[in-house]
Amino acid sequence: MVRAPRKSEIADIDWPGVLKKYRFSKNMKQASLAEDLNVTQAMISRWESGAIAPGREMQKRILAMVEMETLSTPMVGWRQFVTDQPAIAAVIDPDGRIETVSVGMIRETGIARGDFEGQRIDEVFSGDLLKLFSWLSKTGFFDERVETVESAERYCFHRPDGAEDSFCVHNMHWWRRGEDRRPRWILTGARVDEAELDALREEFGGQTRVVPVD
Amino acid sequence: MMDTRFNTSDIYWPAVVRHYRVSAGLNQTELADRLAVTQTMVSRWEAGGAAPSRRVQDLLFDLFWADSATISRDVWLQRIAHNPCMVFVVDQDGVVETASRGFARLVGKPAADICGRRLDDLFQGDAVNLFERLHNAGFFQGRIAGAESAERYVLRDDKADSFFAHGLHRPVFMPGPRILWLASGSEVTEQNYQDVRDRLGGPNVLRKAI
Repeated sequence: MVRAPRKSEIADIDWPGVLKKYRFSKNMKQASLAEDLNVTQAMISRWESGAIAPGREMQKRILAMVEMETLSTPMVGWRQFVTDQPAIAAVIDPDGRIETVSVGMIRETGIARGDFEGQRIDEVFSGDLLKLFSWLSKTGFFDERVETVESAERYCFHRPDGAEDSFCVHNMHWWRRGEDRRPRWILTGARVDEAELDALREEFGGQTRVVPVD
Repeated sequence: MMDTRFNTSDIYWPAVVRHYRVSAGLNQTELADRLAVTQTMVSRWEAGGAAPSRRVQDLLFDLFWADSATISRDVWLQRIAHNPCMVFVVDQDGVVETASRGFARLVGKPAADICGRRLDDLFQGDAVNLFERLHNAGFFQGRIAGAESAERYVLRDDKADSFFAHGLHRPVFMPGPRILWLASGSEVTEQNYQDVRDRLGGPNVLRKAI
């Protein structure tokens, strides 16, 4: 996860060390790093020698670049890829336990990561999503009989302050096997308005439909 | 106009081979075994002394795919077309090859009217700037492992409608061999967009391949 550094952390950072370590680990020349950061090669040289420190905005930029762990390899773990999605996404096991949720899910619901992960889906949501889960189970999704499913739901949940909240989501679901070979439900979605939810349900002939594979 | 002066059709094999090998946790001998070549050959590719043969280029890209996906490329492309989120695939000329249903919804055009068109024909501003930045950094040559960004997508039409988005960008290794840009993201509020830009210290952050 990328995380914004706290002010006190930034003040203590050894900028020549951070820059050189990043550059050497990538086998990059100063000119190449300069290009990535949109500065001159001379500026990189001055930062690396410790003659001057990068400005405030540039410090954030450098840290974001260095800390972008998830994007550092093409073979990033699939769970991490779900976690980092700006869109609504989650990984859920066949028992309905939420293993991870995306940045987008946290942003849209306002529920903290720790209040999702390890919880059962019925401990966080009510209504449509639970109907979806039982439909998936009945249809053989977790037995790998169905590849991709589309659905339209109203997500109903409690905000951290206890108030009930809900919004409409157009979802797509598929599965992949986890490390223990059991299938995991990968949920992705985007918020839509009420009219779009109704239109989708009309199109699907209900809440869900199996996406045909040609 | 988008800047496509640089010839990006040539894949930069030292970065592609080394980055794949290191991130898959293989040493040169192990990768050589998987490709049925000698360790010396892998070493030469990584040093830029030689490029892999066409056979090995395709094999490498197949390995890339097999390591990161459980479905075929065809099923994957089909799945993108149905995706409710913002997802699109763009080639090195800036042409949209695949647009998700969610992206089409945001743009307000059917996916069929987005696919086959150049990004700078559809949008102005941030989206085009992002493409140029990726392109010029050698994204389509395999020099970039990933990027994160916050964009305002402004349509190039009479109304100049726009939306804000937070995106993740990764290369996809396709037969050819060629590298495509996979963008996945979400529409966000202007405040979210500002927050992401603030965290990134700018509109986007690129991560070089090893």
